[in-house]
Order: sequence, then C-alpha cells, then structure tokens
Amino acid sequence: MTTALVVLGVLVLVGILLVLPRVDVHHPLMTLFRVLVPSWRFFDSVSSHPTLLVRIAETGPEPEPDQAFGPWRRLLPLPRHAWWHVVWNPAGNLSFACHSVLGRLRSDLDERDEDDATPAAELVSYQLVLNLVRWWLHDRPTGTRVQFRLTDGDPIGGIEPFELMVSEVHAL
Amino acid sequence: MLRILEITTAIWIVVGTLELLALQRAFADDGIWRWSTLQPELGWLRTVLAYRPFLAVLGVRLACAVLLLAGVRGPVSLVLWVTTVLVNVRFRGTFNGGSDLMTMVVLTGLVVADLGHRSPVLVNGALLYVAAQVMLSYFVAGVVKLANPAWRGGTAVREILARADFNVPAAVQRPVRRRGGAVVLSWCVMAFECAFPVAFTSVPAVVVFAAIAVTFHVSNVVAFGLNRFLLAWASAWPAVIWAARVL
Repeated sequence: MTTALVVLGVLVLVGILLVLPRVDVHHPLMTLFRVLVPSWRFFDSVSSHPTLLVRIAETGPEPEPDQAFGPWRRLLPLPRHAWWHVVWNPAGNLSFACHSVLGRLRSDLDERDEDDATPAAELVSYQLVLNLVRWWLHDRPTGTRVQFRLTDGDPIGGIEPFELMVSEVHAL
Repeated sequence: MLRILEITTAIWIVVGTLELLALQRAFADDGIWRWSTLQPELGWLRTVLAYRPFLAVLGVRLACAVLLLAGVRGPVSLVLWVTTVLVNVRFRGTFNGGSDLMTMVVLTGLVVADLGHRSPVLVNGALLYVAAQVMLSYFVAGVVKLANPAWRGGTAVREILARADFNVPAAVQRPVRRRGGAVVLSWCVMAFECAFPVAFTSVPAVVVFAAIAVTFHVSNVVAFGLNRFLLAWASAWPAVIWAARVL
C-alpha cells in the first residue's frame, strides 16, 4: 500500500511538472543530455512542422534573374508503405531523419539571438539541409542552380505557411 | 528475464545497424551527413566518426549485437552502449528520435546489470530502470497530449495523419476524417498512455497492456512506417513484464 502511494505520488508530480511551461536550456551538452535522459514528449506540439521546398534553374549562366527558376516544389519523396516495413524500412527511416534535419535547422534559426550576425548559411544545420538538397538532386546536370526554402506549414498542401528562411542560390 | 532482454535488444540492434549500413551512402563523403560538414562540431572525434572509421564503428556494433545474441558476456554491452552513443553523436542527437533514446535506455540497463558480476541488486535495479523508462515513455506522452486542447478535441490526430511527409495510407485516414472518429481515436491513445502505470499492478494487467501496445506500435508502422519504434520498444518490454511480476 505504501509503495503504491509513493508511486502514485511520483506520477502525480511528473504529471504536474509536464504541464508547467518548459524552460529551454541552450547548451551544446544538452544534446548529449537529451540522449541520456529522454523527455518522451511525443507529438506534444502538432500545429506546425517544417516543409522544404526547392526551385531549380537548369540553364542560364547568370545567377540573378528570378525568371530562370522553375516553381517551388517539395523535394523529399513521400514515404511508401509495405508489409515488410514492420522489420525493414531503411528508406522510410532515411526520410524521417531528413525531416529531423529540417527540424534542427528550424530550431537553430529560432535559437539565434536577434543581434547574432552569424549568417544562416554558416550553421551546420543549414549545410546539412544543403547537402540534403544536393543528395536528392544528384541526377541534375552540373551547373544547375538551386534555391531552397523552409516554411512552417505546407503551402502546397493548402496550409498558410510561415516563412522560416529562403536560402542563397547554390550550384549543384 | 535479463537474458530475454539481451536477446530482444540484440535482435533490434542487428536490424537497426543493418538499416544504417544499407543507408551508408547518406553519410558517405558526398552524402547528407558528410564528414566535412560535421567536422567543425565533431572534429575531435574524427578517428571514430569520419566516414570509414564510422563504418568500422557500425561493424563493431553489429558484431557485438550478434555476440550478445549468442550469449557472450564481458564488455559486449558496454561496447554496444559506446557505439550507440557514437551513432547518435554522428547524427547530432539521434538518427530516429525516440527509438534511439529507448535503445540507450535498454543498453544502459544492460551495462548496469553487467557491473559487479551481475549481483541481484544491480540486475533488479537495471530491469526496474528500463521498466520505469518504458512506463514514462507512454505516461509522459499521454499527459502532454491530455494537456493539449488539439488532442482532446481530435484535431491533432487529423493533422498528424494528414501530414504530407508521413504519406499516411488513405484507408487509415478515412475513419478519422469525421470529427467523432478523430475524437475517439485521440482519447483511446491518451487513455492507453496515461493509464500505463496500471500495467504494473498484476500479470493479467500487463498482458492486456502488452496486447494494446502491440496494436498501438503496429498501427504506427502501418500509418507512418515507424518500424524502429516498434522494434526498440519491443526490445524493452521484457523488463516491463518482469516488473509487473515482481512489484
């Protein structure tokens, strides 16, 4: 009976702590801490998720004219479903990992101070998203120029997006 | 029960490592997680995290998982723990979120159990730690959902299932397109997660919760393709069953 009451008390305490406002601690060691002490807050916030859009200019030597680019489109392929994915789903898990890279860039952009003069392009997470764009467009001809855009919400899916960032123009 | 925990963990790590090896182009020197991009942050770990050494780390991890499956003891759990930390660091936190965190929990339990020649106190403490983390993984997820009006009203479920990046099959989305269906599903998920501590009250209770958990995780694979969550949580469940029997 005593054990049950103690356990119940701990669970009530955990419940109270969970509904209190979160305090974000920004420190490099927090990444390691999050691995060793999980928060387990699955899907606690569902209203937004970053969407990656790209536009491509296949030809044209000059990087300036906006008209050289095609329309914005989603880059990441949609995951497919099959029964064997219960035990073997590397492509699906790569897709989830790519979305984690987008989420990390969003949080890095959020965490930058207003007076932080570091260009976004110097963030490791920005470089990873650029790698991701190059990875998925590897079959495009050399010299193709690309620009990517990160939005909160999905403009192509009909949800009014919040612009998080538009990248520089990069060559593939 | 510790042996069963070792077997389930070893199977999961074999599968998870083979999946990573199947994706090795993604972290090769022209891949997404190429070393030249990560070097500014992780340069001091070059000898283990650059592309070729990292393949060796994955090879060691795979070999140790096979040894664990075969019943070999010694430093196997510790090596698995270290290589799993390195995998997480290589992906700047985790490769696939919660499943990697649960793997760390189970491996930490196995490492603790191996200390002190497997004294009953350490083994029981390790199993309790894993069982408690599994319980928290459901309970915390349930409480934060319960505190969210979007979950209580069913809109969260509909938004998640409609997300383009998950590409949820239409047959799965259909039942929750109506508000009533979404509300019922939301409350079923929240009730299961929040009530999870009840699983520890008796053996019949843990059997019922195990059956619901299997349904829950398999549904997540069908809807989202989250197989690593199924396998990682399945690896930890022996500790929950053990705890329900002894508590």
